[in-house]
Amino acid sequence: MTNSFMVLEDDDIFMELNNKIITKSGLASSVDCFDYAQAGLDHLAKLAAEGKLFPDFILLDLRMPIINGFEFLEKLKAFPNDKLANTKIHLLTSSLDENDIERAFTYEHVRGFHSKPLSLKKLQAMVAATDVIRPGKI
Amino acid sequence: MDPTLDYDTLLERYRDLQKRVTKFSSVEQDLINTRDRLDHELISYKRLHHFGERALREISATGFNALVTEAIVDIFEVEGALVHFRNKADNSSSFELEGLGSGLGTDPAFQSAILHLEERLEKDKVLLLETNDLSADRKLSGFSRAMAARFEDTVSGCSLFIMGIVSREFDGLYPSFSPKSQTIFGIFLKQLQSFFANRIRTEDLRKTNSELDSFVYSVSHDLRAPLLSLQGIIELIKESDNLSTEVKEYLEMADTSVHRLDNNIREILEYSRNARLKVTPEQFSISEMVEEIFSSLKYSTVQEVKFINEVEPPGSMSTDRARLKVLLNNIISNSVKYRRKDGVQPFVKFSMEQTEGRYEMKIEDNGEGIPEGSREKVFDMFYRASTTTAGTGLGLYICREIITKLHGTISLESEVGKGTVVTMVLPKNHQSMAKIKSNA
Repeated sequence: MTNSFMVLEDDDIFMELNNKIITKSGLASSVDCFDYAQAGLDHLAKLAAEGKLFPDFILLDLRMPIINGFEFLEKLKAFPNDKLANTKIHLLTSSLDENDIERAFTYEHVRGFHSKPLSLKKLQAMVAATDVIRPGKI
Repeated sequence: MDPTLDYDTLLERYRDLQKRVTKFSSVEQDLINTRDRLDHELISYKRLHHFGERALREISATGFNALVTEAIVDIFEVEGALVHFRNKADNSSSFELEGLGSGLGTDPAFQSAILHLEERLEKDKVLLLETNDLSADRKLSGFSRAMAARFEDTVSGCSLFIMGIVSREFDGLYPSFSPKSQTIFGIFLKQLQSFFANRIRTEDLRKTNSELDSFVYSVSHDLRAPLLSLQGIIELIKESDNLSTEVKEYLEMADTSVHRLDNNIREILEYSRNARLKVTPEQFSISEMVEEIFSSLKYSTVQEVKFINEVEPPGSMSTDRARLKVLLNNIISNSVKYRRKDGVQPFVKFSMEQTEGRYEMKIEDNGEGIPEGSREKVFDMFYRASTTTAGTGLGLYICREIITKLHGTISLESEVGKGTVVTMVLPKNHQSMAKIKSNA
């Protein structure tokens, strides 16, 4: 499989979990983990500058310090659209707020909203999905 | 102010103003309604107005004296048409009153009132005017008196202007306000003062509520986060090789406990959100919502449950979406939780009928049913009818609380060993306030 992943997660245990599950799944060609949103944005900027492809999947936490998930999604709009054309963003959060769910799907590249923790099942569903995934579906 | 305006010009401008302001009209609203709506400025101003009018019919002229005595606001000078207002409360009070005085026809005072009114119309959010009928076919012969009060709510920046005008018409007598007119003013003063006092309290409460809401949101997030990471870790351990049966068993127990705790936190969150958040109706597809709930429960049991959704998609309805989802989810998941386990295929069926003013939803199952003695109590806080499954006893209580918020009803019929039918009726009257959201 040749899916590249980027994970934005400030909690180190979740980060480790996500990393383990993605690596062990055999579904990923690479995983880049960042524990704050700005580092993720910097990474994307670097990829853009070097003319490299953006990751196929971004797993995004909502509640992060300084730049939260929604702010990250806002800042993504600054990148040229063709860069993001193949990127699928999946929110991975402990939020149960219906408003968060509705709001998340107003962003173009958001393809899923999942309740933590990540599981192999959820990951497989993300990779296989042709439609958006709403919480509770897996 | 332009003191040289002649009477005809003044009158013309006054009539023009009359068309633009909210006027008294005969309305049968009562104060009880008013109190429900205190936080909707516009509505409550109008209702207060109506209340005043109604009171006018009910209170005799002598009531005015009592009013003056009881009023928190002093009406300390009633002389002819001239009414001065003074606020009894101390200077820190959040509203002020202003007597605008009276005048003869082209008197500066009357003119000043008209001009003031024009100015107010530009500035104020709400403006009310009380006057005797100055329609075009009646002649206003020159003497007029104005009685006016301005209320300013420093919290909302909202102000209200009430004005009364009497004219000398046929008898040529120097006009004065009738006790009834004075009563209406007195009632307004009293009502408005308590209204503004309530506003301050409401403002405080609103602040507390929103703080509490973000507190509950944070706490639930912070409590859940480590719990969810624990879930993930348990999941990972379960997948490792060479686990003894004993360890697997312990892991299952740990997993169950973690899920249970998470459910408890969710329920507390749901309860708290329902209690505090405003009802916000919107349009959505009920069919889609039910499908969503069904598919989220599909994997919660080993035994297959047949999910039947009888609503033709999209089945558009309008109510508070988030609340309805919690409501349906709680009831449907109960049907799944207490499904029959005797080999007969368990099912849950959702159906909805619409009549003129209401939605009637039914959730039917062929589950274990609720014993007679418990049927009345299942909606009570912390009441649990089953000893075999874990729970907080909050689920159906939350359902009832939600139904109450949505001004609906919930009832159930059940037979042990046969199944349960829960019927929920919701009014459609939120529809007019609904934010129409497309479900594209």
